[in-house]
Amino acid sequence: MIYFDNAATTFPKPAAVAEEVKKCMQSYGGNPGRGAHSLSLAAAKKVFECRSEIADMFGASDTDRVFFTPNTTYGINAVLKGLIRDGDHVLISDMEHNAVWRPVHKMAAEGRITYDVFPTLTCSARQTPERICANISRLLRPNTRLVFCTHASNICSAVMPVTQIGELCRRRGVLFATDGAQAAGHEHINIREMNIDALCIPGHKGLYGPQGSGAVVLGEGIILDTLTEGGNGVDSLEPEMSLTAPERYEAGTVSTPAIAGLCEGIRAVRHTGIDTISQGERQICARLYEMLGNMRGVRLYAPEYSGKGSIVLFNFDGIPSERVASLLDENGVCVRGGYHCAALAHKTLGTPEGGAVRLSAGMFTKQSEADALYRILKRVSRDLK
Amino acid sequence: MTDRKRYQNTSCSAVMGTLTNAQKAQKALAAAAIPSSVTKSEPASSRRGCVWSVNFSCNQSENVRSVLASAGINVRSWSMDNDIF
Repeated sequence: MIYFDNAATTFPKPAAVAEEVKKCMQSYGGNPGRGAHSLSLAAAKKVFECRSEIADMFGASDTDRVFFTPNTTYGINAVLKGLIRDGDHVLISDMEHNAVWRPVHKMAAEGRITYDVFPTLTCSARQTPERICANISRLLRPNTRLVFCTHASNICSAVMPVTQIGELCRRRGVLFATDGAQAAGHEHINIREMNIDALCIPGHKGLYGPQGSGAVVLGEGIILDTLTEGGNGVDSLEPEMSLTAPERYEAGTVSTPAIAGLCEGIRAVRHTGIDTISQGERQICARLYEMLGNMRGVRLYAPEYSGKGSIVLFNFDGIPSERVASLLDENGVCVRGGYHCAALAHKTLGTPEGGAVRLSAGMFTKQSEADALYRILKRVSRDLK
Repeated sequence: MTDRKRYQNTSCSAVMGTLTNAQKAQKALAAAAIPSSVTKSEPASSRRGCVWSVNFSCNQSENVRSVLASAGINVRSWSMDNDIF
């Protein structure tokens, strides 16, 4: 089996991740932050270890700036609904995932907020950080509270100029949040240096943790309204959630096995090094771009970003992307067709109705697998004609 | 008897509130070579319900206060055995 769907979830995971999940479930998996017995405290220790790893990796000022979520989408919802107030204006990019677009659109449809989509000029020769920032500046209003931007696209290898956007937002007094779903583990992220007020990350993608793990990293002084309320092991006699983070944002039991695995995933990524991982992925994707570019009937999208990321997007002329993905699956290759839950981004890239086929490399992807994929694609393309 | 001798074998606590805050305190104390443990406080120690504390030997009280203050870690209250002080 050849796996080229790492943007959906990385596979396989490092052995240490699976081992830690098993160890947690069999040796120390009490409920962290609830009881005071040894298993509960052991679980809490592991959760704190992971919190510390995340805080350190993403430049948080303190461990209490990190709260766990089941996935990035939950984190994005927590940030959006925790920061935005009725009457606010919000800016999102034209490369957003539905995880950002849908909650913002819903709040707007309910008449609570207004929002605009700023052009990132993705795939345009005119794209520069300055022009993207100028587009944001033009759309800022007196009541703009938040700019939300994906850091790295989930359908191509475009990376947004987060540092420059963060500077602009800080200068203009606007909050800045990022969707790090495709950037965490691929790009160096430091929320303090980048002026990011809230970073939403998945555990199961570039950080190689289990599905069901994710986190939000908050900037100093950022306090969110709560998305969910309930038990968190603190001030249990009070009717309201305490203001103290991170427990304020973690109502209900966190997924300790997933967090334990995530801790090991992060350690594996940091041990290997983000630069080493990214370089390997980029080389593989650059090679894929080159090979696919020579195939008759293949249309490549966003070739400008070849060698800059871990995603390749393409179509066979006149063939639905889901059909191509299905044929590849029959030949032992896992890829994803369709829209990748990113309607705005597909519109920006101008992909046709039916979306496109996405290939995404990961830490364990080998060059030989890219070569094998190319051979299979050539064979499949003959069947498609 | 000096205070230091009186408190030699007595356990003191910094009541922190959240578990994460208690764990942060424990980490800061460990870095200063001060042994401590994280415990869930007795229900009587807080009218607000469950809270978490860091326990340490009372003869380290001054050092603990200094370390936690330097680390910017907020302490809700201090207690010796079950007495708030």
